[in-house]
Amino acid sequence: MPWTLHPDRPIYLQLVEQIRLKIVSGEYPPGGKLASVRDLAGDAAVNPNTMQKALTELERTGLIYAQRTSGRFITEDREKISQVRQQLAAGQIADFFGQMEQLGYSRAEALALVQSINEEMKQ
Amino acid sequence: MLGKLLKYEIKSTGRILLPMYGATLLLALLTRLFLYVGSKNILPKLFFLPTAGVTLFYGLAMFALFVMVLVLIVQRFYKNLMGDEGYLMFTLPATPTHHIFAKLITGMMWTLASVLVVVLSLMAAFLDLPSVPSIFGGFTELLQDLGKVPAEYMAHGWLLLFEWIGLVLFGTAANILMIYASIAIGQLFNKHKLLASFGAYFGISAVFQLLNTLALIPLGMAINTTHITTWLDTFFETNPLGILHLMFGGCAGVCLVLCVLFFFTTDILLRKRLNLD
Amino acid sequence: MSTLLECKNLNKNFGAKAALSDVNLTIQSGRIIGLLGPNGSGKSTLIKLVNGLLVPTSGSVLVEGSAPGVLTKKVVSYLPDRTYLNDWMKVRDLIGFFKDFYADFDPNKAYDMLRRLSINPNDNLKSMSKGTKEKVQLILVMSRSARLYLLDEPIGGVDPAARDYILNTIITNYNPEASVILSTHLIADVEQVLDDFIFLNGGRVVMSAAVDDVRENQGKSIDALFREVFKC
Repeated sequence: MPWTLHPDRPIYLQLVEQIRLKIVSGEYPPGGKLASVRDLAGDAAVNPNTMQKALTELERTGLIYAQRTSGRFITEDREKISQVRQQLAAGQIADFFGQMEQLGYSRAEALALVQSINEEMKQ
Repeated sequence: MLGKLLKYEIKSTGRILLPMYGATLLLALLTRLFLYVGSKNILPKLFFLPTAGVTLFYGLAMFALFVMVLVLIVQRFYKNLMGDEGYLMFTLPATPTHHIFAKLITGMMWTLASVLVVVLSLMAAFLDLPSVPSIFGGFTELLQDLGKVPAEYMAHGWLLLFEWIGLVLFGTAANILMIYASIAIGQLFNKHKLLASFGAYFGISAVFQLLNTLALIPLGMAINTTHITTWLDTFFETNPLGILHLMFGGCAGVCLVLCVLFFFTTDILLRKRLNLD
Repeated sequence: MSTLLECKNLNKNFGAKAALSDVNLTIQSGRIIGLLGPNGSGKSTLIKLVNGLLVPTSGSVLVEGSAPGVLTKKVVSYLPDRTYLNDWMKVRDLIGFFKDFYADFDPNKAYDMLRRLSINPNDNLKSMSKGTKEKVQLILVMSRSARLYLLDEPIGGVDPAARDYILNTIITNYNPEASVILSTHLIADVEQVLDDFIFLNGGRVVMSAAVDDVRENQGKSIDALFREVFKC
């Protein structure tokens, strides 16, 4: 998945979100080693200090951890990863309900609509 | 640092001058060949035309050599230091003093080398080979005669030689440094730097002309006063070579003073007032 | 983190015209800084003052505590806004030249970058396009391990692919001991790689901040902020 960054929001926040997504989706597997700050920064075409800030933030939340000599790794705690995954999914669903509400659907109506469209797509 | 700068300075000037030296020597040899063939009267009379052509080209080559040395002295300072290339030269970890010396030494070297090449080429073109032994003989005789010169006069001879060498070196250096000082003054201007440099050059020339004239007036007046004249008379009677020392040594001294003056003008301006805009 | 560059009450006049007025700046190590401003705002003048190619009318410039001189030139790597290479040398000769004069120059790095941009080291500068010459200059400048890189319009004249490569070189060359100052008016292209920015206008510093602070506090890109500040 390529990096897509918008210049109007703090770059480090967007990096945090996208790396988190790469971990949750399995693109970065649990226990896997992360590339160096310099390489990641080069890959995303961002400033190394910004990448460093994003990784520090991810370390703080426990999704990645640093080993003093050998670099940074993705957490092996699958429980933690699925927790984050659920949080992200919950966020998406909340957003979805919010948007449907703007279109005039109640949550029950929205859910019914999801089900009927799901049936249609199966055929 | 000076050594490295010299290396590149010689490289970037030698690539133009060395082929010119080669061409000059070649044309000298061709001139000799044509003159020789012409002298044999085996070819039609019209053969003098190509001979004249070759000789003319040879003459032009010698002239071009000195023009090119002068052009390079100006160009290596103006273009390499004050033009776009100056952005590289002045961001090297070298001082302006290094740059001035690298360019001055190279300029002097080529000036003297060009004189040498012209002398050699003239010999190659016109030296009458059969007369070479007698010239050498003449030299040996001269050396033998020199051996008979009283030690007192030999000392004068040596001193005069040094004074003459000093005059040649300081004279060449003063001329080159005057060009540098003019360019260093010209670059102070924000526009028309080249024009300003020429202006500075003619300005400096005019000032020295004026000083020269002003210096001659009191000298002339002094000579008119009798006791100075008698003093000079006795000076030259007791020191017959005095006038020569005065000429060579005095001029060498003046050139040295000019060198120092122009060098410091250039150095201070490049150090404190560099203006590459 | 140490102070690499300090400008104190820096003024530069050309005749009666003020090119820089009362500039005060401090640049720390480990940063990539954008020197941004419209044409004629004093970007090049500031960079030339730091390099000692111009002398301040008043005030001072200090690189690691020293005024521009032999000491500072050893640690500053400068890319000017023009071609400063003579055109009779081959690229290989220029690499030799840089190796001779700069102790921190790494020829292997230069050859590696030339290969990546498919420039033949045996080519003459004379036969190169303007864009290729600019690339060669950038390669020479970035192959030094200097403390302060001063890049005047490094991406102005090159194609977008080379632009990406150049920015990538700046990023991967990152060293916490060194800082990069790059001047440009192509803000959208560089703002992702910047830590900080300095807006210059009419020879004055009108704003300087960390780029992510602007995005966080004002919710806008540096490009958008620039258009707002310099609105005609």
